[in-house]
Amino acid sequence: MSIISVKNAEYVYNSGLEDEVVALRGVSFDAREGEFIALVGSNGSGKSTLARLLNGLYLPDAGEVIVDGKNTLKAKGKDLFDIRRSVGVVFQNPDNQMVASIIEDDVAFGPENLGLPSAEIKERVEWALDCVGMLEYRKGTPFRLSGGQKQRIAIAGVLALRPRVMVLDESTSMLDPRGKKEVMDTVRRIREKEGMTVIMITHFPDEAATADRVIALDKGRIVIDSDAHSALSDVEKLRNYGLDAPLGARIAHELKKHGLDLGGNIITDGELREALCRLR
Amino acid sequence: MKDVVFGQIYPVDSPVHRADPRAKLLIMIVYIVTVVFVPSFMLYAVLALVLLAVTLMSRVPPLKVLRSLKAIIVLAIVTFIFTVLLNDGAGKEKELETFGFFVNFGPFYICGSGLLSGGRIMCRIILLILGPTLVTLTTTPVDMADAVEWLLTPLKLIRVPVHAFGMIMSIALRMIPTLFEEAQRMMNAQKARGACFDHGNIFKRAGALIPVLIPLFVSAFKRAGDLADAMESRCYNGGKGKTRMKVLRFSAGDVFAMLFFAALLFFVLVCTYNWWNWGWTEFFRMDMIEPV
Repeated sequence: MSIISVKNAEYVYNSGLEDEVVALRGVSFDAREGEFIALVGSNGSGKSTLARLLNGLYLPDAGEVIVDGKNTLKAKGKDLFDIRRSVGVVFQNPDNQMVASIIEDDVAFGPENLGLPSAEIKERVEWALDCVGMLEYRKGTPFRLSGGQKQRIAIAGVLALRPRVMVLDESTSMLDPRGKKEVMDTVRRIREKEGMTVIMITHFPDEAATADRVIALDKGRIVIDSDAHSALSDVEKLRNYGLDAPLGARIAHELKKHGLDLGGNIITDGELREALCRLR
Repeated sequence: MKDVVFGQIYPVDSPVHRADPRAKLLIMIVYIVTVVFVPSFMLYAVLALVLLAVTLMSRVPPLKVLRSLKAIIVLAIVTFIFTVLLNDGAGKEKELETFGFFVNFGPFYICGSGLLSGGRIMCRIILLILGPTLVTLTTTPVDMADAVEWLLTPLKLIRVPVHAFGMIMSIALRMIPTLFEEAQRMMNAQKARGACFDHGNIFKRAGALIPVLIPLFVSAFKRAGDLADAMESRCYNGGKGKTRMKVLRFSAGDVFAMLFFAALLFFVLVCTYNWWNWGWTEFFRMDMIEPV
């Protein structure tokens, strides 16, 4: 059963004004429970707008978004609450997502809003901080942490809501390589442990390669929607939409052009290494 | 600046640090009222002893507490000088008689009565600073903000958005270091391009800050927008039905401390006004030649 279903969603910024921008022109896809989807697209392709449609932060101007059977357009009060607790969004800048100056207070913000009893909030905060490996910092302040650590706190803040879907809106784009790896490892661990559905918006092809399914947006439309291997190994097609394929796929593609067909859809460095080793 | 979370706090573990911030806030208010009522040096000494006892209990070095006086020492001295010079001892004949000296030059006087009231005002200012300093040295601003929100709770009855105030305080504390860092970065960027913030007269310097302030404002608004999105995504809806992880609960010690300070205020009032003509209260007024 699909947990999120987007049907012909359109979204326009500043509708009717001279600086009108059409961000989404009829986007449709379904996300099944437990899937790991990477949403890629060049700047201005509408991917961040889509992230905000998924939890009812923005409402589609046409079409609809249905989360766990609830239409975001019609959701009010309790339903909207339920949509937001089932779809947690982690944003780009970790500094702009933190509400409190003490780490555990910040993680507690979500469950506090849900109106849970104190004991359960404590339990969730501990669990969430443990999930992202930041439990030992709980009493500290986020200011002294690195970008990757701050973003892990932000993920914990979302996890504490016990969402069924986690949306990462370019959550690694402001981080250094180490921070990126920290966050990606955390996401992978959570997926393995909790089997959570993850929708990751990114413009790093190598990050997209870790997903099961890749959806590419261009100018507000879905142009590719298939499993990660076939989507990311099509170097030419990605290039048409202003997207880079992962390094492994690009090397395999160049080798093929020069007469060495490694076969299969190679997208990660590991797969490339294996294929090359098999040649010997 | 990054220390805005922990503020001035002296990081040791003590009963005073662990005490409920609401109790500390209430005690601070009662303490300030008490200090304002005290008329005699004897009672100031009593308050100073209490303060010393609390300081020792908090394991903050007493010198650290005293250092807070540096900021107001000039104010205290100026106040003392003017109190002395402008006091002609009118209506305090007994005091004048006791000390027996009276110097007058132009509009100014120096007399025993003036010196006494000058000394008392000095004591008052010093004690007024030391008490709250001890509170800030043992309480984080975050806890203090919580306590202030709690104290304002009754205002909910007249529809004051107390929760919003609390949220604003908490976010302000949260954002100060971030924005400060950003301002620093922008100043460096401007400096790298030849801007000068420490030369010229005050107007020039203020003018040099404009290219820093404008982008700082723009970025603050952008941050506010992002933060609102993030808060809404985490189910924030203006604090309706919100619970708290840290439920503040007064411990027996907190209650005892509050009762103690209430009793101290009562004791000071009894000694000052001598409502029931108890003889022993004389002791605490012995430096008062004139009755209140």
